[in-house]
This record gives sequence, structure tokens and C-alpha cells, in this order.
Amino acid sequence: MTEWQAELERHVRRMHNAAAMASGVLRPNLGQTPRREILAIGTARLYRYESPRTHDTPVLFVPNLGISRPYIFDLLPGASFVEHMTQQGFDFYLLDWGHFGPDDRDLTLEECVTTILPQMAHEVLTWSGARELSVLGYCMGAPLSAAFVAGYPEVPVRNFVDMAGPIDFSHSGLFGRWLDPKYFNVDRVVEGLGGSVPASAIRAGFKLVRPTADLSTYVNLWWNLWNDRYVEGFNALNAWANEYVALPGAFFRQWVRDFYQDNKLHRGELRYGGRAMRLDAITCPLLAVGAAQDYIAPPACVRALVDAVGSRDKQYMELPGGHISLIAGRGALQTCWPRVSDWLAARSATHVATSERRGRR
Amino acid sequence: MAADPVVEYWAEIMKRTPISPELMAQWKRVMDHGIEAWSRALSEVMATEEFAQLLGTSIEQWLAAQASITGNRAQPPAHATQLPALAAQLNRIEERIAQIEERIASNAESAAGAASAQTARRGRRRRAA
Repeated sequence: MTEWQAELERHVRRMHNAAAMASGVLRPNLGQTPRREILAIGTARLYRYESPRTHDTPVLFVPNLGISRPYIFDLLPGASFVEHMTQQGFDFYLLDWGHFGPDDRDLTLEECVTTILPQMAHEVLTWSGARELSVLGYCMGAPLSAAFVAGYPEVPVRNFVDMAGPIDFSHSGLFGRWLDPKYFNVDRVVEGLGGSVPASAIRAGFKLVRPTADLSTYVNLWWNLWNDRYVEGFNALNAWANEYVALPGAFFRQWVRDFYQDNKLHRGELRYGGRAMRLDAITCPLLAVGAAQDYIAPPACVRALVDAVGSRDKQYMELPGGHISLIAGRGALQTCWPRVSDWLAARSATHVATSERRGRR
Repeated sequence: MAADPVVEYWAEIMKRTPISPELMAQWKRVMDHGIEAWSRALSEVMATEEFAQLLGTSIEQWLAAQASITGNRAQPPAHATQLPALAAQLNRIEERIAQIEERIASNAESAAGAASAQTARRGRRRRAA
């Protein structure tokens, strides 16, 4: 086949896939790993995924609250973090914080850390029948769960993993600059927005942080439009990337003030529910994973956790790519997930008696 | 797989032109470099204090504008404000009509009662005579 023949055939495939995309034929089936809901608290849901459960230490996965939907973690078969973790034999639990409407405007970050997370952890231990659990936080879920692990030493956390989760907000990049209290009055903004931060405002913020992202995405789409596998992944990711979730106003106030503006968690000044949440109280094995091109949680912001905790077994891993590429896409299956699952597997209790555990519930 | 004859035909024609199939790849490279350069330049600008200040001011102004719009929307238009008054007027008219009807009915009853009493009195007078 000549070069021109190959090029023209790619064009034919591009036209074919473009037509299929426009007609909506290629709508992806997202979130296919079997799961069951085991606990509901307000809008929050705890899901347990089916797995061979060869590790006795369950994993509680805590993603970001609001902003985006959690099906990104179970995007497509062969490109799903949840699928990978369950295939590796982890008893895997996902905390879905839910969709927030105007009625949820009073939900605070403090309530999430002191009420919802302890109950979710308790439920994971009950369902798994395990004595300890691993906590894996992603993005905003990492500082939330770090505060929880630090403030609740009575909860038996065996391992803690921070994936692209900002900790030292003095290195939090553009968002940190824009949310400076000199220029950003969070109270006025939340009041002006009617008590909660709508999905459209979240979208505007994230689009602004990378203004050329859409152009780059569509140039890459055109270039790879002949590739059915790429188009399948693009459709799945694009559906997710355009579905933003609102944030409760009270939560956003605390998130901006306590974390971005006052950096209380990293400074050891965070107190919720009458408990001090000092990172040096975290003594379990710790893995922090940063992405070299992450503009939401820059590497220095994530890495700070390793120096702040009291753990002896601690490791920082910096991988190529951006904030999303750590958790989604086929590239993550090669570069990131096996490292996380191997690290956890080496520190999890091994399988004892599956039949005994199955009998419990 | 057999090649598409249309593709083969066009490939043959394109081969005779001075255009190289590498042109698309070159276009992609140029686009990538351009986007990357723009992204870097914009990121630098957006990371400055001045931009943060401008953004903060813009958000405040946008919220103020939004508040004035929603404030105006909260005020119902003139014809809409008159609707409850109109409804109240209609109610009052209905009540008034009902009152008039009642009064007519009671007047009719009393008139009928008076008429029957008069007839009875006349009868008694005739019997007495």
C-alpha cells in the first residue's frame, strides 16, 4: 500500500467515525463493573464492587466531592481503575458523594470528614469482615481522607494512598493564585451564586485553567479519528469531561478558606468536630502519587504529604501525564495503576478464608 | 483486505501532484507547537498577580450584574402585579352579587309572607262580616 493510499484510507475512516459520532451511534457504555450499593448517607453512596477478594484488607476509595462524576474511575472495560483493582483481588469500595442541588447547600466539608467518612469506613470494615482497611484518596478526596485518617486514629487504617491529591496549598498553582483572599472573597461569591456553586461556574473555572485544552482535544481527535479504539476512549472521556457537578456552598467556603487560603491541613492547624487533624498523626504506610504535568494538583503540592506524615514506610512517585491521566485511560493501566495496586498488595493482609467472609453477608 | 478502488484511484492522482502525504503530519506538528506555545504564554499571564486581581474584579462585577438582573426579575411586571388585584376585585364582585341575590330572595320571601298575611286578614274580615 502506498503512503497516499494509507493516508486516504485514514481519511475515509475519519469521515465514517465523524458521522457515527455525530449521529450518536458510538455512545459508550460507562461504569460496567458489577457493584452494589451498601450504604446511603444523604446524597453519598457507598458501593462495593464484585471481585475475587484475594486480599483481606479492603480498599475505601475516596474521590473528589462535586466537580465531576465518579464513573471516570470505571470508564470502559480495559480502561477502568475499578476493574483493575478488582482484578487484582482487592475488596474495593467506592464512595460516591453524589449530585448536589440547592437543598444541599449547607453540607460542610467538616461534616464530610467527621460524619460521612467515619461511617463509610465503619461500613467497609463491617462488610469486609476485616480488621483494617486501606484508604485511597484521589484529587480533593485525598486531603479530605488525609484529614480523616489524621483525626481518627481509632479507625484502623492500614495504608493510605494519595493520588494527585493537593496537600500543601502554597504550591497549588493557578487555582491557589486565583483563590488568594486578596482577590477572591469566597463568602460574597457563594452568596452571589445563590448559596451553592453551580456546575456552570465549576466548568468555567476548569476551562479557564487550561484555555487551550479544548482546541488541543479536538485537534487530537481529528488526527486520531480514523482509530476506532481512540474514538471509543474519546467518547467515554468526553462524556465525563463535559458533565460537571455543583458544589454545596458551605463545603466550598471551607474548601477555599481552610485549604486554599489558610493551608490549615499542611500547617497542622485544621480542627474539625473538636479533633485536631495533624498530618504527623498519620503513621501508617503512605504512598503519594503525583503527575508531572498536573495543573490542578502540581507535584510539589502532592509531594508535601510525604514530608508531613509521621509514617516510616512512605514513598512519593511522580509519573508522566496530567491530573486525569493518572486515573483514566489506557495509558494509566500501563504506568500508574499496577504501581498503586502492587504497592497496596505488598502491604495488605493476604487472603484467609473467602468462604468464611462470604458467609458473613 | 482488498483496497477500495476509489481510494486507489485518488491515491494514484495524488501521487502525481507535488503534495506529500506527510503534509497532514506537518500540519499536526505545527498545530501542536502552536497550541503548546499559546498554552505556555497564557499560563504565564494567568499566573500573575495582575491576572488574579483582574479575575477577582471580573467575578465581583459579574455577580453584581447577575444580582441586578435577578433583582429585576424578582420584581413582577406591571400587568402581572395587577392580576391579584383583578382577582380580588372579581371576588368582591362575586360576593356583592351573592349578597344582592340573598337580599332579593329574602325580600321576595318577606313580600310573599306579607301578601299571604294580607289575604288571610281579608278572609277573616269577610267571615266576621
